[in-house]
Amino acid sequence: MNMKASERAQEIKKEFLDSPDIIIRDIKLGDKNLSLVFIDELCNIEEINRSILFSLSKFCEKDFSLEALQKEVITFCNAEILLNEEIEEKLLRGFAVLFKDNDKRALCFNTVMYPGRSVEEPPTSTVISGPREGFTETLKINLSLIRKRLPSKKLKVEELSIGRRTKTRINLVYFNDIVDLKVVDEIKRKLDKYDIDGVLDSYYLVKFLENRPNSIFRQIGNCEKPDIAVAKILEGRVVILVDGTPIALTIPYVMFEDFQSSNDYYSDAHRVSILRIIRVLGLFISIFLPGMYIALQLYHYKVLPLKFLVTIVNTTQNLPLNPFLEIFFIIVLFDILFEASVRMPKYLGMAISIVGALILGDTAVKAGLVSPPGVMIVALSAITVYIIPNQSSQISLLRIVFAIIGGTLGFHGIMLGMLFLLAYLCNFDSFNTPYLAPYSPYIKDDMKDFILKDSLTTMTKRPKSIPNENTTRLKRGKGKNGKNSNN
Amino acid sequence: MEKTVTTRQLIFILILSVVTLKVLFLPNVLATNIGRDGYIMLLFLLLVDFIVLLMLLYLMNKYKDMTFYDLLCTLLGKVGAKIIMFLLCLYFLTRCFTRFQTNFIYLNENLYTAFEWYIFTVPILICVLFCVRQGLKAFSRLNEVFMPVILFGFAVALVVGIFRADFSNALPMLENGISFIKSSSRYSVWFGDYLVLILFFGKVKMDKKFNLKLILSMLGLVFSVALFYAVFYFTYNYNTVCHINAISDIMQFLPSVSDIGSFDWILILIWDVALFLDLTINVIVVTSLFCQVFNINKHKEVVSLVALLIVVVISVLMNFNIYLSMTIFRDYIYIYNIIIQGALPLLLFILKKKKRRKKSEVLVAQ
Repeated sequence: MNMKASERAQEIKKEFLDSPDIIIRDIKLGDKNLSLVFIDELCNIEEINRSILFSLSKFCEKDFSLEALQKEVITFCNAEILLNEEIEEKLLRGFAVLFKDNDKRALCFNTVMYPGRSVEEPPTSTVISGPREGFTETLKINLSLIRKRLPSKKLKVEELSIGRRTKTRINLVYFNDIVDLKVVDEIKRKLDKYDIDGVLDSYYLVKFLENRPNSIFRQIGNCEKPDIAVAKILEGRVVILVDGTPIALTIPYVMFEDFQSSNDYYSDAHRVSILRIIRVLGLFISIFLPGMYIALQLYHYKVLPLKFLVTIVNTTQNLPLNPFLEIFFIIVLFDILFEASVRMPKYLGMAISIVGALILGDTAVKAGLVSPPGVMIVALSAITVYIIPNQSSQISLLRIVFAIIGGTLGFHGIMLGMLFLLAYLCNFDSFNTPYLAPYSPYIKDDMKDFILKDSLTTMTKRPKSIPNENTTRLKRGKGKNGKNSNN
Repeated sequence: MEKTVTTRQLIFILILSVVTLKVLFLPNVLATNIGRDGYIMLLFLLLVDFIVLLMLLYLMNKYKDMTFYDLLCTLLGKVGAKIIMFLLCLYFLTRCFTRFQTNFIYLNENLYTAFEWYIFTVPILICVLFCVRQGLKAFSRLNEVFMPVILFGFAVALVVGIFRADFSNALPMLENGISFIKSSSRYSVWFGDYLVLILFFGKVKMDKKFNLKLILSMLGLVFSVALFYAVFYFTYNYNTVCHINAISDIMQFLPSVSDIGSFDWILILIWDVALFLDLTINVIVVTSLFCQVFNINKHKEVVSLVALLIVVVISVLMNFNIYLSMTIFRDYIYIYNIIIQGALPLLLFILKKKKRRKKSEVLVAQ
């Protein structure tokens, strides 16, 4: 290939539709002409000047090869010699590419510097105690956050690229000697099945990986904190990091994961057990309370104690709406307020909550449109939806479904609905892991970290519900200050 | 063959099968017909059933990797197996009917007047079909989810009853001797629960102490159910005949009822679930047996739907004349039940023993 370096650089620029951010620097070095090409926004200009251009300016040889440049001159920036096909992809990833006259290859330097935020505490996973670092949108930073917590040669990172146009980088991170490799193969097989133009967030992959993409229930776990991701890797899960998003995916997933908080592992086990019981109670309240309240009022008022019944009757007797419509009215009102407060600018949030909660709610009660118990029931149910934030969308939906069932079929209908729901969930498997494990099927050892949490010292085995190849987690008297760290 | 059910799940399914009807309406039936010594009758029948369980367990252990159909083929040949499977299918269809009818009586007792029973059957049938479609593995898990709640309900009722019952009502014991045992076969409709086990041949992941766990839990259950009847009867004595729904009625003695409302409603709802699950497992058995007899591998849910529709139609017809339907069950169906519940397991047990003896004779001859 007898082509000048500058011509090749211009050709590349043309291929990039003459974009102004494609920078070309022609350099004359001895008898040879070189051209350095890079994309302005993606590269660290300082690094280019310091490590590449400055080093080249000191080079005095007249005849040289790319190999000589790579090994003797520019030893920084992980320089590598690549062929034509790979060059464009590297350019797009923020590499600087150096062409030489009459050489079809090019020397690529890692000068990547994406704009990105620094490591902060994620707003959705704040903790009272424990690490506060959260993932960012930069894959490299996220991987480094995991690597620094897992300095082990057994930690395997596999890189994939998904998206015809976005070419989004994805890292599968797992312990090679712990994970069930069938799970890894299954993940790769599922990801291979799709050819999408762009992946902007890990949620795109969620839909590729789920067995039932149309289900309202999550089948893939996620987390925003490296300590949680590391804990999951240690349990034998695979963590998927996606470039451009702070949400890491974890596979396999069991439903009960969402009842656990990272705080649980940095607090007293007894306290955690109580909190988890409250979370389960919260789940039941959020899903069933509105439906049960409607059913109680419409069909089963005899179940209520007399004093309670009298209070309810006194507050609801003059309402224009029946209990079913009343609760629906309040639920819709609440959802409108919630949606508005999420979308409104932050400085209006306070005003919305005052207008919504105080004025609308209070006025509706005083106007006799809704009853105080009805407002209380929906408010309680709405608050408890967020006791398990990762399940909030499913819970909100189920709350409405069970309100309808309670209003049409009463308590018996609610029981049937619950059976229907659980029968559906019992048939769920996420990558060979039963969705309701360790409760159903019952796995005795895993119950140590179920609702009632046991002390860390008793959890000697990795969870059996997650398929893994190495079951031992804790050995007594064999730690020796981490010398056996690879296990 | 894939082992889809754990030992714990199997035990829970057997508990469901045994306990559901026996703590609802059977106490009233026994109180009406036998009275004070009904718990002896109950214990006797439960122990007879328990012997059936032991025979089935023996067969299950001997043919660990065989389905019940394969076992029948081995012992009786293919034609014999198909005939037996079909007879069993009919038997379980009658069980489906009794469960469905119990649902009807139970919900009629507790259902608000706003709904007609036959309107309510629609969601029940949809839900049963859905659960059947999820398969045996999902059902076993579903039952595992609810069983702790069901057992909790049973235990609460039992404990409340024990504290309230007047055990002096047990006396005089066996006032009229044990002549009532003669009529025990008439209650066969209420028993034969362990036959559900035939569905699980070759499908159970057997623990190390599988037999021990199963036998001990079933023995515990047998005595608990008999105790429940005793407690129930000793609580109400002669008035027991007026109390149809044992599990609900026994809870009326719970303290602070006025503060927390009618607590028995919680038990009613729990037993709602138990009845539903019991109906579902029987429909699963019918579907499985029928599909095996006629080699149906696809669209099994259609078989379940047809089975349920048959049950509903029979129920509609029988509800026109409750007295006649009861007579049919009391005077005719019970004979069929005895054959299937008692004679069939015994026959298989003997055949297996004979086969074993033959085998050892051949070995000796060689």
